[in-house]
Amino acid sequence: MSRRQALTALGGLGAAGAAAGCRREGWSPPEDDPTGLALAKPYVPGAEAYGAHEERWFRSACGQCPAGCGIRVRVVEGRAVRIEGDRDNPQNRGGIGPRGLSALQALYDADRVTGPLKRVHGVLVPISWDDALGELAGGLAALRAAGQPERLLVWTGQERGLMHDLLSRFCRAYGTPNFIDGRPGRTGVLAQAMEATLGAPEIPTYDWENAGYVLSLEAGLLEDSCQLVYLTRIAAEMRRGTSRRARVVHAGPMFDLSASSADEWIRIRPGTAGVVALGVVALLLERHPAETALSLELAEGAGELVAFARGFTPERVEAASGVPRRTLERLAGELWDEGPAIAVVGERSLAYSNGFDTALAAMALNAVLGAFSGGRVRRAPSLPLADWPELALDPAALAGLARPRLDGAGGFPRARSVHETLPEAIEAAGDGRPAIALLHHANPAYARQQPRRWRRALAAIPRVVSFSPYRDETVDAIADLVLPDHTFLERWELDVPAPALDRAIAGLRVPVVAPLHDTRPTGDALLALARQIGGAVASGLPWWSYREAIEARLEGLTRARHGNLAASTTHELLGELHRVGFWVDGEPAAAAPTAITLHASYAEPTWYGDPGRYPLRLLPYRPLGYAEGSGANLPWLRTLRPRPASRPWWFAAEVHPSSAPGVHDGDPIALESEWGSIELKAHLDERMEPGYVAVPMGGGHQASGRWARSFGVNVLDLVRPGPAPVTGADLLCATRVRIAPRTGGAR
Amino acid sequence: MKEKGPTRRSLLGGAAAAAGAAALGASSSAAAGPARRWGMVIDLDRCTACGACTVACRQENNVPPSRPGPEHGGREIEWMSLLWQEAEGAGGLPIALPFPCQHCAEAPCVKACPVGATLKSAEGITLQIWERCIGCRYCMVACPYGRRSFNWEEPRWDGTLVQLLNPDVATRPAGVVEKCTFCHHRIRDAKQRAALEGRALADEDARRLPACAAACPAEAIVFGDLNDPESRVAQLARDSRRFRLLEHLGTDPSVIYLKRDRRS
Repeated sequence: MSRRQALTALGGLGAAGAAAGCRREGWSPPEDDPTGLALAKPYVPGAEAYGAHEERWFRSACGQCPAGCGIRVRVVEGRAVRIEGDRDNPQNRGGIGPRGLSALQALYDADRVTGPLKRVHGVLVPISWDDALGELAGGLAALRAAGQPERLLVWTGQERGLMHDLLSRFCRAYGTPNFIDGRPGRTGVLAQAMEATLGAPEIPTYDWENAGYVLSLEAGLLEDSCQLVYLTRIAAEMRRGTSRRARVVHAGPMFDLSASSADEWIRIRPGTAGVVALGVVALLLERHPAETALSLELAEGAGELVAFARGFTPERVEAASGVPRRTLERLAGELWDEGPAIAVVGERSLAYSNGFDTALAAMALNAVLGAFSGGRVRRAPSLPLADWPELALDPAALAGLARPRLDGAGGFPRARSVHETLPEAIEAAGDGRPAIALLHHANPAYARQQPRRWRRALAAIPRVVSFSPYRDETVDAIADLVLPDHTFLERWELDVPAPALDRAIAGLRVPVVAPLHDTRPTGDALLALARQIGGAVASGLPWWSYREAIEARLEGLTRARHGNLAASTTHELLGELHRVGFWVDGEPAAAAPTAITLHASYAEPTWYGDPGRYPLRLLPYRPLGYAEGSGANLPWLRTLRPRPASRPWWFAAEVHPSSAPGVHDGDPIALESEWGSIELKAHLDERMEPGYVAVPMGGGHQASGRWARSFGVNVLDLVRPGPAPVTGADLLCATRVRIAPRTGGAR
Repeated sequence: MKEKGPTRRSLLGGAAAAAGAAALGASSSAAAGPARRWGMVIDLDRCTACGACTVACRQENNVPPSRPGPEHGGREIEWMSLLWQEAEGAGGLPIALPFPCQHCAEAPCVKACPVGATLKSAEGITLQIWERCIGCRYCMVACPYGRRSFNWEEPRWDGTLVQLLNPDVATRPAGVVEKCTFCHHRIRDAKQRAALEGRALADEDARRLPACAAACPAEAIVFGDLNDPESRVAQLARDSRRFRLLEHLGTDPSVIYLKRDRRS
């Protein structure tokens, strides 16, 4: 019986069972069915294994960027084949960003680490989980027994969820103060500025829905924001969703997606957004003394701010930022008259040496505009999770925790963790340097300023353990032990998205497919380590699995009676979360903060390097999609076109023609700083601020898989090492560069 | 390995198609009025050029990723991409247009194809049957929008990456032309689902039906029946901001754009 005969027969059966009026048999001509299930269709590679074509949809929480969108994943016979946004999720309402859509490529990346690895004579070889965990636990127990628990260094990357809390708890129970928290939402410049203003180290949320006027101060809201998908939806709603269209003005140095989406783009010199904000503050104080006094009535430090802001005359603002007096005056008038107004900053605005001052200036402007008292800028709502039981620290832990941190975070008033001091601190520590380093979703051998020095410093640590699911630079060149994590589509997590809504929300991330490889959730691996170390470490982390640890905290949501899910027990709640995908508070958080503190301080951005030899200034930026480089293994993201000139796989240095005499568009150039040099193509853009060169991050991988390797160059090779003053944050935009004759071949 | 005989999956697929065809036959005979004309309205005032539509399209339709290197330049396969346009007036800013096949009612590509591999469906979709395509690329020359791609090489799905392929959409071999189908298979699925529920396909089912429209965080892409005056897409298509690309060529595109507005 031929295939066609069989199908025709079956088609007849189907038709017999269906309503009368059937006009076709099982076969349909390609005219009617050119893409799909017709018999004549060519083969879909890999689908030969399908038997029942069983299809399931799972609700989960995306883990590709901090936005934490609700997603639905289509799984056909155990394979995830589609990701869509969840239309019921109040954050993204069905929308999903390019990065989230690329999660399937992250799951099925052909170059993932397929099982635990150990470095033997410089080569990574497979090892069993039992041996790997046993060996590591032995090392950890010995270090602790030797009274040196502080020689354990634990470093988390930008993953969200409760893993940071678990790793932090592990560190405390073990007795090391050296927990380096990589969450930008908690440790970044904006979080520090919000702590200074509102008293909580969290990025704020804004009342976008009711704003009539938005001033973006160099914020990459639609390009590298941690709330990208939410803000994309909001940007559309602000334009066409309400009867009164909000006006969005973007002040920034280059034509990026935020500039492209704004109603008006004001080109300013990089790092001068704070001057512009203070200039507007000065004008508003002068024009509306009574009303602004009322807005500032409850703010601590208002008197000093008023006196300080007076110095920011339109002339001074123009000299510093390049914004003409007339434009500044118009801006001030519009902000006042066309409100309710808000001023926003983002990671891009705060990547300069004066980032902290810029954030404080933006908050001062918000205060003058009444955005705090009006509830338009507010503290992020907190999720009512239960705490894990109080940790009982043993003497070994107490002694270890009392020792100074390696990163010198205490030297920065508000920093909880500092990354950029570590390489030098590790090398200077001599025999006291870390003996074991645990790296959770962090790739310092690539994604830090001057990666070479990080590789050198990490190589001095006797045992570096990476939990990365990918064979990134740190795994490839440094790690002594690799304990690969699941990707986010294979594991449990309670995901707390970057604050965006006016109410608390959390998503449940569930395994939608069976683990593809011999990988394990890092939470489970950590709990197994704690058990093997024993003593107070084991009793401090008493759960058998990471999922149990999550459930212990869900109890808080069960007790909170005003959520969207009705459940009397954690077990019930988990079932509901599985079904719905997210928990959201039924009530908004308190709108207006009770107290704010304003600060009068401002400094010009510092640019390092000899201005005579290096006349240009470097602006590394996170392009849409592949962030600081962690999305480089996802080729779909390389096809995005976030710039007017961009093509798939576009990678170029953007520079104003006047800043690159003799260079033509598309010419290969070399960029040099005091700390390194890179070679890439030039893109001449009249819209760039003269005197600056913008280079995307995310290129120049030496590992991380076939798609990432050998494409583009790593701009971080140029960037001056060291942290930002005051905040200890990464200092991306502070390096002077020059365009030099090119020496190498094409890349 | 290619399928040798009927598998359970293909049999079930056939059965489902038969059941769907039966139900469709019933519903289409009951429906009155002009035939459907599927169309799309893209509101550039909502779009922020995030590119989600382009990635969603690749994911849904098994469009292989392009590769770096000059040897691959100009050989990208793109059903949906962003087209950046410089502003017309001095001092204006460029805008990005999500740019799928325009599904012209008077499609020049259909007229050019010597083997009938590209054709108009009864509901206005310009379809491409890759099994029938001989790779002459006349259609690519004829298309004034450049919205057709030629497979210069066999698509490569390295290692485990093959597992993400959507089993509903066939992959294309080297030597044929491919293009946007308005996610024809999703329309068919939605029709079948509606038929199984004993109802006709509603406008709400269609609005975010194609993968690009489903993904768009800004809800800038609306899909539906242009011939149904009550549908959302037809209502938006009457907006005063409407325009179509290269309309003077007489191609009568089914993709309607709404102009970008900037509040001054």
